Amino acid sequence: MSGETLPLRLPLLRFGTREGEATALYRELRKPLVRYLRCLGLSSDEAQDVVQDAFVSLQRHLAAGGSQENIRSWLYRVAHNQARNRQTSYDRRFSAPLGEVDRMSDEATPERVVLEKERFRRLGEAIQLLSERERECLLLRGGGLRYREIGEVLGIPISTVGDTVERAIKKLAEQCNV
Amino acid sequence: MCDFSGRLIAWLDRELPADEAALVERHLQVCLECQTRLLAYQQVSRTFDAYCDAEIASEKRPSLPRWIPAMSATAAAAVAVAALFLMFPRGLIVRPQVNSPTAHSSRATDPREGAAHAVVALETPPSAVRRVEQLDRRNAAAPVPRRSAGAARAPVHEVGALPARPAIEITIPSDAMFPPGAVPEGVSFVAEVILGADGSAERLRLQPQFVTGERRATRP
Repeated sequence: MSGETLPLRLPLLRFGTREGEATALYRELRKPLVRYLRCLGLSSDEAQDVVQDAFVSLQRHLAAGGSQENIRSWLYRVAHNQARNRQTSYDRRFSAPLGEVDRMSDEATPERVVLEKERFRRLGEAIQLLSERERECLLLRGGGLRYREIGEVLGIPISTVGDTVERAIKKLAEQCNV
Repeated sequence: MCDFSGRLIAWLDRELPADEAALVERHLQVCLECQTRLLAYQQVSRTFDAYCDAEIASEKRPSLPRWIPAMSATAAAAVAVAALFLMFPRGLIVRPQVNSPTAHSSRATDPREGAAHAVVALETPPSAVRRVEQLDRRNAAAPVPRRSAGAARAPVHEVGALPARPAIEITIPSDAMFPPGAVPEGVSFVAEVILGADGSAERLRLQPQFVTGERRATRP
């Protein structure tokens, strides 16, 4: 075996003896967090890094007696801010229209692929018309966050979240004409 | 435009109070315009989520680390669950989750293993296949587990203490480390964890272990 090692940093979640909860939290939120960051435009490696860092920060936060309320939005907020700090091309994710759609349909009939491609093409164009804030709201919403949590992540009032989501969805629906 | 059109998306996201939601539901029974809008909003929400997933999936997957032996390309596409059980203060223990519990038991309890070893066990659950149909946003909103009232009363001094039994269970889905299908069933990894001064894991060195016929023969 060569001396190669994986540069993998593990968050040691040492919440007293409540390791089960910590593990469950990590298991539940790692993927959605990575997905959110990648949708913001981070590479896979960057996203993994940021998420690991966020969990390490959570560990410190809790060890220092920080609030245990709203852990999910806490993690998203930390990850979101870290992503913004290291991001050079924020809009890269949605800058290029999607090329390959076929792979995503397991039971794709030719008609369905054509339909899906067309739908995606329109949506890709419509997404360009959204503001950064609108995209963020939709991405967080797609991750299953409540409006209250989205507001906590982005630092905006819950009413603004509702208005922003509604405006964004209506824009997309109008453009896609679905 | 119908008066209710401004509340459809909030209703879809379950953000309306119960009484208001009931009003919207009653209205939806009779208003074709709102039904059509609702369907459009639902559709576009789903497409947006699927679009994001497709964007991510269309990126090139990372190549295999060189030290992974060549494996059958037909290995099942899989998410693998890897569990590390770390024990303080005697270093990190070894307890494979999937393989025969007896196979590693001597290693797990051997104090000479204090040099920080752990086993990462990989398996291939059937839930690995991602389906576009599951992108329904309303299913995605799983509540975050929170501590119960009883848990909140747990002694504060336990935080950061070094318990005698395994304190940490870290799950590493193998798709975080390897492309799906890269790791066939029956392969596990021994991980050497190198700890930093602050007790966090600085480096992890994985060494593949092949489950041979010998181990299987130990089963009753």
